[in-house]
Amino acid sequence: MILSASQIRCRLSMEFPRKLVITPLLDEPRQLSPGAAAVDLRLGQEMMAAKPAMLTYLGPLENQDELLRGYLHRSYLPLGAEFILHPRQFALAATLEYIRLPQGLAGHVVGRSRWARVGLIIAMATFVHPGYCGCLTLELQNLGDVPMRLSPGFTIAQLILEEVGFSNESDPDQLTCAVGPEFRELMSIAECKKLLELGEKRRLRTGDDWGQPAQ
Amino acid sequence: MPPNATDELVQQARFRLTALRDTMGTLQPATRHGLSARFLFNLCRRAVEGLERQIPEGPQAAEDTVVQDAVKALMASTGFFHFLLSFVTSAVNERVPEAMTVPLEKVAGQVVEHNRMLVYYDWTPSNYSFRRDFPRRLKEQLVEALDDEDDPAIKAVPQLFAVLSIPAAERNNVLLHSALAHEVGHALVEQLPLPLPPLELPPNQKPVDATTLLSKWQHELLADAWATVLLGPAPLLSLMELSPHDHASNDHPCNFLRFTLMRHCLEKSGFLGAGKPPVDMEWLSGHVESALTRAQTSQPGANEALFVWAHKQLLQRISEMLDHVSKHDLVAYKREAWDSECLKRPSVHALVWRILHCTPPDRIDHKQEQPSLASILNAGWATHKSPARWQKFCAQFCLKQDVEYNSLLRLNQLLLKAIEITSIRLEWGVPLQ
Repeated sequence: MILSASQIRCRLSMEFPRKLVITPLLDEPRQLSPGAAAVDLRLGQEMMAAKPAMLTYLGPLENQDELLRGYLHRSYLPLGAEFILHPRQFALAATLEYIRLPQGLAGHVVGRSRWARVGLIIAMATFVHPGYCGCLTLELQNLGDVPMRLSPGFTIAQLILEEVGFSNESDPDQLTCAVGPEFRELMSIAECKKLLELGEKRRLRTGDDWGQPAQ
Repeated sequence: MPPNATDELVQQARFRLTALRDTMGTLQPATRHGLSARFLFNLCRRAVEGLERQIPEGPQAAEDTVVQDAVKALMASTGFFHFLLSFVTSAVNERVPEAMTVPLEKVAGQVVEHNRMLVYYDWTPSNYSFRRDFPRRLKEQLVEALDDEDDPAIKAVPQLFAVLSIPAAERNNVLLHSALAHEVGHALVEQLPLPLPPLELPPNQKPVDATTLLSKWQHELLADAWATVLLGPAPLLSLMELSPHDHASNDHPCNFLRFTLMRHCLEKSGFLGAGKPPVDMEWLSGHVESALTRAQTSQPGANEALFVWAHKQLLQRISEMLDHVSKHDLVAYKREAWDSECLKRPSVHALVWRILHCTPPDRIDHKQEQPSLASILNAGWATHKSPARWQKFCAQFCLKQDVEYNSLLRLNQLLLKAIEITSIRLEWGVPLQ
């Protein structure tokens, strides 16, 4: 069941551990307007803009630190400062709000229609698991034809909350308490190596180099 | 204007701007991740680029415009140091009245009014420090650049322009930034000189050397005392982390003396001692005592004889300083009621409560009051230094206690976010709940 604004408000005022945390709600009446079924989230102060020219390709075996340094440029903007997102540019950002979902509550972070209509995509992986705590990382992309001026504090996203079956187990991956956009391991390196080995074996067996990365 | 005159003008402007930039040294705004490092320099560069785009009436005017723009940028940049500037001002505004009751409110008001703090990252190997000569050099450079002592931009430079530096390697270590309170203490000591009698000298010391040394030590100890007044236990805990050497040097007294003094101040402000520290604060008592034992049993330094001689006198001076601060100003102050009055204040209760229970950012809006930076820092230290809380913290976030670096990193990130949320709410004007 998707929570209404009044139910979200009720969850915000509960005691731990059932308490839902969304802080700071700078303008609560607007961000959690009566009758809505979502809470509006603001763009955070930290951005990671992609620099495609700095990297030949991306893959799960690449060194993550190197990825951060080479592919993404991190910048910290005060409230009111501008960030220009150019057409087709990709950037990581985070919500200004620090969020903590109690067990039994999951969320979907989605864009707001008014921004979507001018071409702003804010998230591609939208599901937020129960027990998550931290700022939500947003994947920004400008699908429009003109540069878009963004600023920390803009309400560009919304969080839809829904109840799920209660579980006492918590997933360590959800307890990252990220305070800005985070770049995480794409997949298990062991699993990735195993897949590559399978490909290599097939190539040796059949002589077919289909699927090998171009040298 | 001939074409090459423009080039020459730009060159001159660049030269002046470089001089200004050099004056500011490695000055960088201390924001959350240190990534606005190029902010100041970009402002200067923009001023030059602006000149290249639109040349004003004459060469002199153009140059003046550029330099004045740069000066304005420098002035504006002082407002940009929002994180640590607010650290200082809120520490003075919020913490002092809580700790020292009414009299300091007036003093603190004066300090904030006349004092402008500038904090920057020092990329050379260094420690947290208070740069006395920086404001003088900056002002000389500005006077030379503007060629007019009456220029409003120069008048905008406060008389006391305290500059504090943070080692760049520690720029994200919020816990250690509590040590800045000691540097702020230096500014306060300079601003509020106390009429204390000179120290007596030991018989076998050269009077000039010993006087200089003791005066430096006294300055340091007074700054320590102010630090605890401003932030409570946090500066002491950061000092314990930062000062592994227990020897007295020509600039700093040995740790034993510093820790003893700070413990004395904490006892006065109700955090420690009096035979009945709050149960949850026992970790702090234990921590301070063990640090004192370590410091006491360490090898004596070169100036140890002088230290032994001066020990009692210096402690006496600090007690006098604390009494003087409390008696200072117009409001009557009852010595015997100091501790109990201090603890009766609701805001102190709230502060202690937060220290006892830690304040992770996800609980900020759970409280009736907006947490101050002081309370956030102390909550951070309490989390880190209290074994029970540290265990709880690591368990809560599924962190392995043996990988201390990761856990500390997380704690620092949470503290940064807590500080960010507090600042944003203040900046935005969200009413306190």
